[in-house]
Amino acid sequence: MVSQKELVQLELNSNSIKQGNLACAGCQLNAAFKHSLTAIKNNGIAVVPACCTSVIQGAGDGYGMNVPIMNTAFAAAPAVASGIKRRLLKEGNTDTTVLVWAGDGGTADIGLAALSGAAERNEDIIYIMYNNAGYQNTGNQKSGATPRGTKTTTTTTGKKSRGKNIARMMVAQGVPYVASANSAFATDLYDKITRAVEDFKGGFRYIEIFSPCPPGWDVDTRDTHAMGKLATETGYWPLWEAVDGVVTLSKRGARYNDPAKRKPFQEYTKLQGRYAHIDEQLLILAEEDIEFEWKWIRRFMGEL
Amino acid sequence: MSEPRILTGEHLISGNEAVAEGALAAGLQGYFGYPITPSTSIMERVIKRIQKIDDRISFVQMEDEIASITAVAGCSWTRKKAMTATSGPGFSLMQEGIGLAGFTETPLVLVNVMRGGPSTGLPTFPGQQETMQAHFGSHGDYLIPTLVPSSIQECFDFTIEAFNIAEALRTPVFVLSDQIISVLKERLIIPEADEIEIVNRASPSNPKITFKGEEIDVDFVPPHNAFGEHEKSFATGLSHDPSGHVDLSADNYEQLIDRLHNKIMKYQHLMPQPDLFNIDDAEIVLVAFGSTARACRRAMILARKEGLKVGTFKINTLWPFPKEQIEKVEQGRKILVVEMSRGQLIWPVERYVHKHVHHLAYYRGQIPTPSIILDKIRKVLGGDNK
Repeated sequence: MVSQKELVQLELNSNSIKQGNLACAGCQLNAAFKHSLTAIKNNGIAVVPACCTSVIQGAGDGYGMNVPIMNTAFAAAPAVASGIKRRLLKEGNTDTTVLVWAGDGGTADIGLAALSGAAERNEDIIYIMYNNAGYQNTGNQKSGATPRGTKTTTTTTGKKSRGKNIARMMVAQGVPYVASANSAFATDLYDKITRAVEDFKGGFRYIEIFSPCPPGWDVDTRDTHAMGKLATETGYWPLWEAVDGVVTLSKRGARYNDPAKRKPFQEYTKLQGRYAHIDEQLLILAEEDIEFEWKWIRRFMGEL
Repeated sequence: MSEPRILTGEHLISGNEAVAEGALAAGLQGYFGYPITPSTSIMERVIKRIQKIDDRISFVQMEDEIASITAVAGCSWTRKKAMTATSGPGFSLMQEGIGLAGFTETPLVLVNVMRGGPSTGLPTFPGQQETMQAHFGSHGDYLIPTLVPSSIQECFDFTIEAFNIAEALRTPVFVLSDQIISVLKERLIIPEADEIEIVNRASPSNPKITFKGEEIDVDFVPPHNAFGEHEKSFATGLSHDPSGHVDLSADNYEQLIDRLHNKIMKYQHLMPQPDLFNIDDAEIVLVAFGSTARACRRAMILARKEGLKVGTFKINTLWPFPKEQIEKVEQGRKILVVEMSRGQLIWPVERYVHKHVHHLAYYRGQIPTPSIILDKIRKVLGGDNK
């Protein structure tokens, strides 16, 4: 377990994301990307399909990161990563992490077939989906992972259906290591990626990171970090790991298995414009989705 | 709260918004889309508007472009007018679905707002690099009518035309817009509903339809056996006979490929014809479409002030290409093709103009300005053949 102090020092040393990238103020995905690249010690190749990151990466010193990057067609990142890693392995290189870094649209929607294909072949890659709950790069349209009850430009009165949970799908497909993380819990995130790199090398690994988006969610930039914390504290975003299909709750956030210990959902929603003026019945359904996810977690923890 | 389907009156709106209004005016019943810059605001306008219209118009955001175009095809087989819009990479992904729709004679409208390519290219800057892809993008032999608006009024008018052609000829129709037109705002006049011609496809029980006063020949365009209306209704991507049933024989396949081509060519004259300006005394004619046609027109005006005899040939239907008109115009005149591509529009022009064609290929993610075009005109008229 890395301490917060140690992580700060590691990040200063690795300098994974340089100055001058194009992230919006308060962007949490970029913080998550920095933690992730630090965890792979810059010893990796990032495969990035069309997403916010494919815009953010561009400025800086040529580009803003200390690892090679390949941008791919929207639907194809895990396939490209497979091609890279298969060849590296033939050359005897087992150390370089091949990392897919994709948004929720590129994962839950257009990229799902390629993701599932790479998982089925148990490719030696880490797939990280940063979940900012919509196509934020093109101005906030809904994705499959957009949660129920939120407004986007294509769900103007609030999304009616439950968001897709890709991490659960990956567990169902038998992926050996699956984890849920949150940009607001940097040490937990760092530990999970480190574990994926070191303990589960050789196979497919899937990690999903909750990443609040200030413009898309209509959140004050100063609140985006707090938004991430509240997501876990209200039970909305559980933190867990699944090894060979068995779920364990992460130390940070295990207590929210008990609904009585959770903060009210409204504390989380009231800071976000995307939940404003939504039909009350829809918000009730959105809140019920929290327990829906926890029930699955308990079942896969062996509690149910 | 509720708004009419057709917003008769004057508006100051963008090209993408005008496309959405044109679709609604034409009778849109199903929109299936996926976000991609710079086409997304068409989808966003459709959603905003259909919430206020008292009609059961379907809107679905799909999981990718393959799903979008094929959902549109599915919707169309319930005899409903359906469309999607996309840009660059999305247009590439849709190609197989386009071939399916063409081969199954499925009426639909696909608006492609062109940006700089290939790959992700220049998502927020214009290009005209899908000129050939619109013709040859999917595998196999097929021909899809392709309309190319260059003003906000044309975005509206051509979208209605596109639906009418789609219905009359049972074919997918493309509207190729570009990033400049998509965000440009200018005046749009939407006429009264009864002044807009609306065409609905033929059915076995109502086989005779007219388009622009002309009866559509059922030997070229068989009436549509839409789902739920008749016992036998079969849409297949395999080679088939005019009723839709599989027939892989050599004779049938050849007849099918020919008929699908000939039905478009037979009614080419009903599609938007090129606009010719100042051709009579012109020494040089600028050939262009879309936003570059606007720059060409301005360049022509500037050139005329200098005493240079310049005319313009503004293409409105790109495919099938206005072969006869260009052949007439080229006689005794120099031809200058202006396009935001390294060289695509020049292909059909060179094919039909039997002499050297001058070319201003401008592929910088920017429109060639009138002064750049004027400079090229001076060079060409001065004898520079480069």
